[in-house]
Amino acid sequence: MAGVGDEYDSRRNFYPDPGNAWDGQPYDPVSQQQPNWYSYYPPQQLDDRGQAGQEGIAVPPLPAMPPPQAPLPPGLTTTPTWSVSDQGVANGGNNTTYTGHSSYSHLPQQGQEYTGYGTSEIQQAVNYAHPQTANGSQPYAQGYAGYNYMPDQNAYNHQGYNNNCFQKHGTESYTQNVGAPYAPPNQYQLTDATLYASTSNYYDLNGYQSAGSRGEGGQGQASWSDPKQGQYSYTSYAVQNVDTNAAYGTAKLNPEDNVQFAPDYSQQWADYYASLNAVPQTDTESTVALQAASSAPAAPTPAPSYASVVAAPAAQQPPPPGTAAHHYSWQAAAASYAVSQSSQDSTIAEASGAGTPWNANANLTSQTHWNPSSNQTSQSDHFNQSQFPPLDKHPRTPVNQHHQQSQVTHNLQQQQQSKSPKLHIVTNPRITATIGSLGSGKETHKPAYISVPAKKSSSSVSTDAVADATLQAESFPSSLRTYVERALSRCKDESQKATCQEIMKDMITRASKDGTLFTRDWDTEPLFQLPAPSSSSVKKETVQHNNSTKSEWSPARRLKTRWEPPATVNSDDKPGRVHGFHNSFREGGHDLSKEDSTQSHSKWEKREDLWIKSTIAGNEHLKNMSKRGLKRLRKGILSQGGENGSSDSEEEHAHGVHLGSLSTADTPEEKERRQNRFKRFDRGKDSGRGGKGSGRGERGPAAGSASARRATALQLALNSGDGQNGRAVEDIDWDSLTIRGTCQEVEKRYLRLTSAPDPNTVRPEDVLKRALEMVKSTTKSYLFRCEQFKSIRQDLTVQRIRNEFTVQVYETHARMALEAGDLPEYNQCQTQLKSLYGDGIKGCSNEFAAYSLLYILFNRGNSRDLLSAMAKLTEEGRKDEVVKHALEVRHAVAIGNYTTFFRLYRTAPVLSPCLMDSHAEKMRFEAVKFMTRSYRPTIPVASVARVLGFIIEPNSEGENEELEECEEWLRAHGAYLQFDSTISELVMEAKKLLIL
Amino acid sequence: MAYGGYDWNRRLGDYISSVADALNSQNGGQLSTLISVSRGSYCNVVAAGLDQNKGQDVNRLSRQLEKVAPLGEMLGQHMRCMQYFVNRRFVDSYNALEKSANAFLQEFRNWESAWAMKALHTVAYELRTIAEMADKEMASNGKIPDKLKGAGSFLMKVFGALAGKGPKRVGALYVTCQLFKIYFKLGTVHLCRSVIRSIETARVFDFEEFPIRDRVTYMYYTGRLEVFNDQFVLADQKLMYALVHCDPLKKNNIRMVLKYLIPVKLSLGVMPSKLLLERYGLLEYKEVIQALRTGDIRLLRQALQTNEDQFLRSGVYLVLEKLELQCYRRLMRKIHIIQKQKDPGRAHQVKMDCVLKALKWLNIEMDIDEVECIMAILIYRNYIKGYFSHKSKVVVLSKQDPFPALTAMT
Repeated sequence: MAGVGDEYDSRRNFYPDPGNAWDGQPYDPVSQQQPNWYSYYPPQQLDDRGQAGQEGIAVPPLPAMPPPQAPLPPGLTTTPTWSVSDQGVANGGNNTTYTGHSSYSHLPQQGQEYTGYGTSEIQQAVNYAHPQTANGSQPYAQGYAGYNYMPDQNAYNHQGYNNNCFQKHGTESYTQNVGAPYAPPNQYQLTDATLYASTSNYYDLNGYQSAGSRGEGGQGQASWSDPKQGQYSYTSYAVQNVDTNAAYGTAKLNPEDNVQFAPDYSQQWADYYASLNAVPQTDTESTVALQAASSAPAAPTPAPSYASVVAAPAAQQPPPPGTAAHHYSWQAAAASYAVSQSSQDSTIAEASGAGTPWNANANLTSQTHWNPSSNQTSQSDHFNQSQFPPLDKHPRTPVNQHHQQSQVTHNLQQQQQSKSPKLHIVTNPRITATIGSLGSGKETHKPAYISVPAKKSSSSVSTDAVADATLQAESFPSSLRTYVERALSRCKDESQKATCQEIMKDMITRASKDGTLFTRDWDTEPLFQLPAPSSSSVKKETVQHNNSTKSEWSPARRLKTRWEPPATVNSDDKPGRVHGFHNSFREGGHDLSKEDSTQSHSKWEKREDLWIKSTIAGNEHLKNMSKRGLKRLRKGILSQGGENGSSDSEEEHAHGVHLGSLSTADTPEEKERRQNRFKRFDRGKDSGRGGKGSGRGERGPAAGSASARRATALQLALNSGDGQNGRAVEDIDWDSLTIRGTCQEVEKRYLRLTSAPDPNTVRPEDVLKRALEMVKSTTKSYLFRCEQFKSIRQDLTVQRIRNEFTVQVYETHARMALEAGDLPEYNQCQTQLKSLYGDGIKGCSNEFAAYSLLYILFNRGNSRDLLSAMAKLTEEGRKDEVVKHALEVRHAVAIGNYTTFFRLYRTAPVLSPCLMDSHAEKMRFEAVKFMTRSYRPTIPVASVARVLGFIIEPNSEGENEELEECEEWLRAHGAYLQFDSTISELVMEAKKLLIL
Repeated sequence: MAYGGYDWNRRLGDYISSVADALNSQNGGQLSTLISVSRGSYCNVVAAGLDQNKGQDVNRLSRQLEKVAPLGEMLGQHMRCMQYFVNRRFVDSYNALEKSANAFLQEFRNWESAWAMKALHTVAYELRTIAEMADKEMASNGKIPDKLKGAGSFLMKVFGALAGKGPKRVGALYVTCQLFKIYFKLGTVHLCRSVIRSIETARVFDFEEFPIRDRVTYMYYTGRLEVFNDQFVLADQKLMYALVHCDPLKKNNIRMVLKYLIPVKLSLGVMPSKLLLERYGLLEYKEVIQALRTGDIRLLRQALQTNEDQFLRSGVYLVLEKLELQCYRRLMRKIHIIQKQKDPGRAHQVKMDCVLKALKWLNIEMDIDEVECIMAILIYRNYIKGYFSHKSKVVVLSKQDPFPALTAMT
């Protein structure tokens, strides 16, 4: 028969299957393609594409622009809430930018950022920092830094928040950060107020390491890839916090607390600094970066001068003015984050006590802190526009400056308005001193300075700028935009970029001349030759790009599903949403909005512009960041291990920006957006394939693609439901979808996964081994241990680790659950163990076969299950002592032989008695029922006690007590007891039990 | 070759015409024969025809298929199913069959009368059979077999199409039985419950109106379910129904019924004749019955141990195991008889020493506590009438009928 089959098969090679003629379905190319389709875009993306498809939407159609951009409910238009939330949008965008920079949208990356900060990141910061800027703001830098250092209970609060995120959302918690901009206002409130409370109950202050375990991933990564792990240990620990944390920390710092804790902190900081020093030649730079960073937030205080300076560097930067400034400010923001982070961490490390509600001052700080970033966003936006020189009728630089000015001014206004009297706390001498000492000399004297244009630009100017942008962007097909983006993202440095721009300028001019500008398929247009980088690196970049796109959608989407009504962006709820973004990023900002009643409606309009711009800008950020990511990746391969993993997460943040800004896009553009989404889909499908092929060697891309592929697989699995793609599902190569965790944290909270796991939050096997040891040796409660076990199990599952260690974990957990009487948990483990043993993995299979028997016997009462469990026992297994015992118990129960049962109960090996416990009571009652029915006239209680296992050892010391216990039990169960004087013993009368 | 190809095409055309004829004349029996896959003669013809055709004459075939108008698609899939089946590609075959069955079921729903019931039953049967083969194929390829499960859910749909009022209901029991077979095979017997409820609670249709074949099968499976639930009286009723109505010539079917009926009867105190065991090759029960007759607990345990695998698989182990109490009862009775012979006056008092001695003689190690416990159980369960005196360690048997007939107890 096999022969026939072979013959048939060979024939099949020649001819199309005859069935095709009749039924296209099983061989339908469409249905076969579908997996591919999804394989590059996991389901979540569909949603997020909407936000992500920014290239098209970034610039809204010109005519519709102003009104739809901000369809405000009338009540809100003039309220400070709105204006602040408006700013929140900008902040939101910035925040994501920042996070993108820092590597991943969630805490773990923080660690990387930190290390990166000590290395290349700093390098970049220094590179971009204008000397002038670096010098100017020394005092502010210190002040700001000091400000940030102030520990506060609130800071811890946010740790708590993160905990909660983690607890509630598991791996997705990074979502919280990325997706924060979309979160409705109440999201953070929820997490903060309610969830935190519960968490803090569970984990004490010192327990927050586990709470911050999200961050542990990143921290782990950092220390892991860094050869100087030991030195970094403290640092990385401190870095656990989420970026949002940091933001919060900044927002909520309390000066008094600061004073109180400053010395402590300085110690921490010193530690940190020491670790930085361990990296040669980075300390100086890092300090500079710090200062640059701190200058940004500090800027508002000396508003006028500050303002005047910024214009200068921006304009002076030669090739693309926007970019340079952008980079610079961005860097600054990032660095300042690093600072705030570290302070935050130290705060937590100190377990700072009394929490005081943050004040306006703090809020202000956070705002100012962010504002430079928003400048940067808009600048980048302009830079983006400047990529299309042929149609650009306006001189590039002026536009940029306009734009920038308007925005900065705008920010400035806000800052000034929101300026609180407490601001001078920033220059708290104690802290300044601390910083000074920390800054260790020379670097401290290179103050960073962020300049801001002094003159206020009118709102009309900025509107113009936006209009320009709109016009430009509109006149190009979005595919061209992405093409340009692609091309530019290859560039390694400014000069290269300039060359690229020149080339593209020519290209586009030519294209528009011969009319192919709109007809050409830019998506498939090959990129021109780049002088320096190899084509492989370009490929890598694309891959990376796609990967990151994929992997970071899920968070946002999840966020929505969890916290928000269905994803449709309603113009009505936009203010709310915006507010939410803001809120989610910085609660302080929210508070500010309430306090800051001076903000007027006119400002609102300007802010709206800003908002639009930032929306537009996200796109550009993406590009910049992917470029940077690539750069870092290359660098990382060369030298800095810590860099390695961060690149892709950085990308994710870039997309976070994307999301952030896009989610604020307007409903009227929904249609257009969808189209763009579609386009991106098509494009992504092609390049996604490359992503699939990328090896696991480069951790960054591989990690991203792995999660994407997993998502694909999930999608496929879902599709298989209709039976059409059944075969495709079977053919999924699960091995290639398996992720490798990178989290180094031993403790991790358990959270049920609702999406593809993120490698950064998954611990590799060696860490899990340590985790197992930790859980074994800990003296904490069962709840804690159980959770730890569950998270270990989850990590094992998502990494598809099935070996003896896995068995060990499940066995240990099963035993622990048995001891604690947690039968459901035990049963879960038992089920897994069954399958693990079934795969031939060694373990205590006999012991657990026995437990399984007893469990079924006592808890399910299904004779069929019992039969199959018995049938599965091997000949060898039956000889095992525990199994033998279990079988005997089973027999005794079947017959009702209570004497034997209680003997077996007494002699039960290992943990069998735990399982028998539940049945003992029942058996006793049955036995007494039997006795009272059969015995005449009486039975001595002592005899009953002996038979029913109350007396463990006859004639022992405790016998009397045990007798009393039996007596009590008998009475409680309705037995008639009386004293028989003839034998001077208490006897049970053989009467029907009282309760029967 | 060209001629041969033409020949096969002609044969395919003939086959399709036959199906069309059966459809037009509403000949359910003929249609059933034509679409039978695993036990039909047309399967090879169709498969060979399609193999020879090699897709060359697709248009011609599809034109021919138009003749069977509403079932054109169904027949196309069905022919492919046959082709795959002959080529031993059971998974593909099953997939094609499920599509065919789906199309057929849709048409069947539209037909007022139940003329095609036989054909539908054939489809149900083939679904189950081929799904089993497909599962084997998948398992051997290292995949998770799920076709039988799929067949189960599909047959539930078929059942839904039949279970309502009307002439089609008569065919529902057949599908139910196919479902039972699937569920028992998959070990998901809990799924039977909904089907049973639908069959037994519906008052619109008398059970006796179902075909006798289906009734026997149904009673056999529900009887087995009652065995699992330790409902021996109900199990006895159902299995007896199956036994009585079973075609006496179908020896194997009778044996299957007896396999469960004997343990059930034993626990109700009814012993089968040796002849019955021998005739139906159920000798594994021989020793068990011997042990019950003699009160030889050791023999019973041995018999259970020897045939453990078999009893575990068939699911009667736990039933047989509980016979041990009957064995003790028989032992007590024997002691009682012996005592009566020696000293009729004190025969109703059985000392524990005696029992222990007897057990020791049987190589059963038990101490007095355990024997006391057994006595208490026997008395409690009314296997023995009497009481136990703890003080004097004596079982005092009732003077009247100390060992009531087990059959009377329930």
